Amino acid sequence: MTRRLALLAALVAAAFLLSLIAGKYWIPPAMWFSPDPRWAIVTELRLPRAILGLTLGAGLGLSGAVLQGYLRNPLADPAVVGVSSSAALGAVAAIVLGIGGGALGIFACAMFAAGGSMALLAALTWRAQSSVQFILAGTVLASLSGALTAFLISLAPNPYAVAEAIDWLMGALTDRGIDDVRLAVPFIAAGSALLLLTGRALDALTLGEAAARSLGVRLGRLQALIVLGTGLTIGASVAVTGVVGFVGLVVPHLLRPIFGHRPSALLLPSALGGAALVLVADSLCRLAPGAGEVRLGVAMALIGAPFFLALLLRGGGRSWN
Amino acid sequence: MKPTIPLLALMLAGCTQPAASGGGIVSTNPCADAMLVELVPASRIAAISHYSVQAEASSMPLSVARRFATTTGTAEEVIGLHPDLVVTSSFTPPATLAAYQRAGLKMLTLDSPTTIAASEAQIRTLAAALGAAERGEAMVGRIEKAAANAAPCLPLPVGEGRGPSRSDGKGEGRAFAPATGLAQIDPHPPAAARLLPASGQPFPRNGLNSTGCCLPDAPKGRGTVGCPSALLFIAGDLANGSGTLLDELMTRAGFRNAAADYGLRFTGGLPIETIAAHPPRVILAPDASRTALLRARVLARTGAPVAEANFPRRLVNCGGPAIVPALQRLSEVRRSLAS
Repeated sequence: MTRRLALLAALVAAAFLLSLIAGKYWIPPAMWFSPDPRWAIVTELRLPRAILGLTLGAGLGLSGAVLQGYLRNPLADPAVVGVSSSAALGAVAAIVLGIGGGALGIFACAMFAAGGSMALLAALTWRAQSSVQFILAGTVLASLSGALTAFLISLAPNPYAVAEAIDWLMGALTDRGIDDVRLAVPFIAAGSALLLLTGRALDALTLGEAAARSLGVRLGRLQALIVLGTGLTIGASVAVTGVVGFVGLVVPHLLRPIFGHRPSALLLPSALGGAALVLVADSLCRLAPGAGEVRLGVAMALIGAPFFLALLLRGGGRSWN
Repeated sequence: MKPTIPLLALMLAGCTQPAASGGGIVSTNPCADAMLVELVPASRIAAISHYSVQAEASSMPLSVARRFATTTGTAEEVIGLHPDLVVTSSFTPPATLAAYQRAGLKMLTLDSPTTIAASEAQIRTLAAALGAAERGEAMVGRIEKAAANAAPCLPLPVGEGRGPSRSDGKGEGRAFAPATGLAQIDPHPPAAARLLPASGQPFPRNGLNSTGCCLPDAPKGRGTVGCPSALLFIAGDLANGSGTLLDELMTRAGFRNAAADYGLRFTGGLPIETIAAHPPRVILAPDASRTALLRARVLARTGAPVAEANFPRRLVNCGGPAIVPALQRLSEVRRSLAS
């Protein structure tokens, strides 16, 4: 177990290094700390990007594992809580309506919208404290935010605002700098810390809600941790990168055969796995031919879907039950 | 029921009222709007597109655009005006075009020209449809004049009438083919005459740079004088690559299009990494984008002397009359670099 975890951590370290080196211009470590102008590309662009990719991937993987454990549903991922769609709604509102101007305005609006949807979700599910209520409320919030986002885009004053909004929805780490790291990482770290506290309760929950209650698990506290944790993690990720899907869904499934089915045993590995996956995918985005880059959200689905399908074909769903 | 009938009749009368004044021209194409207001008297224009009254999408001064009624281009609005002619764009939804057709409206659909020549042809088409051929020719003449004045000197095709290809091999088909009357010039001029001013007269030394000339399509360091490279953002982080009208305008004004050198076709995003690895001489942008600050910081760190200049948004949307101020602005920036 520890050895597997160490292996996964080494993989993350290698992926981090790769994302500093790889790109349309390969910048090998020999060129680092030299007066070569390309060193600035590493310090100003690739390092913040790699830090962001690492935290973002870890946050996404972790929230996926927590949500799949909490909802006892293999389809669960951060999107079902509705936080990513509402954060995207906030970001698109900032872009289309020109609120605040620049990255800070987008971040503030996205976090505000994510916070609003979190409060709404908490209010909707406070009494029931059941995972069915939770998933239904989250799904409705997600489609409501999706519809409002489309509405806002249709109001855009010119085609360029439309292009920028759609670009945001595709998700990317392109040209994110140290300012974005400063904005997002504290929120993602705080949210992830809250999510890591849920392990024991999730284990008890595998026996069913009634059994978990009799074991002394306070479902209200668990739900509050999950709402707050995913809200902070996913809200802050979407606020700086746009919507990056698939990580939260795929990573726990990939790791379940290796680390076992106990939800608490899957939390840390999912965080590491998510980080490695996002770092590698982002390096591939930079390596794509052509002048521009592939969007991370798109690349994630392109990598994630075949992996996931292969897993389904091989395991016939055994990786879950 | 009864009292509603007169009311209904009144409402219907209200609806049909524009029909009485009917006729005129409706444009749902913002680029056609800009040509229209210069080609025909205002009294003939029933409505222009709603884009033209928005600062970020318009290609004419807002004070001019605000004199006209606007539509958002839906079939109901346009059919209700009973125009003699509807000028649409190739981006008009097919369903809307079909609805115009069913209503028996006469339509003229204009695409987005990607060369000066295509834009001039479009002006002539529109002018002919409006019965304003003379004004159309005058507008084409203004564009020709601006193109001639913009270029420090125009390169002539080398060899079989094709310019040297780009070093990255992506420049095939981008050989410089002058769109104006210059195409007829002897493709095999004596070497000394290879670089001519647009007028076709020997080049007057006007102090643009040491020679005043450059071959826009030639890769640097191959025996030609390199033009300064320019990176043009049309909005936010959208850069202008090859295969666009603005690309031709930049080349005309004596710039190399840096985005085309990076391999960007048409319009798209460019990562700062790419820009920082081969910085352009000047960055032209209408406004500060989300990543402009970071880009400036990275470029400063690399120590590249990159100038920045404003290029108004009103000049990036369309060809037609906007070509004149666009070329003027580009050559203004070009001259400021040479001095």
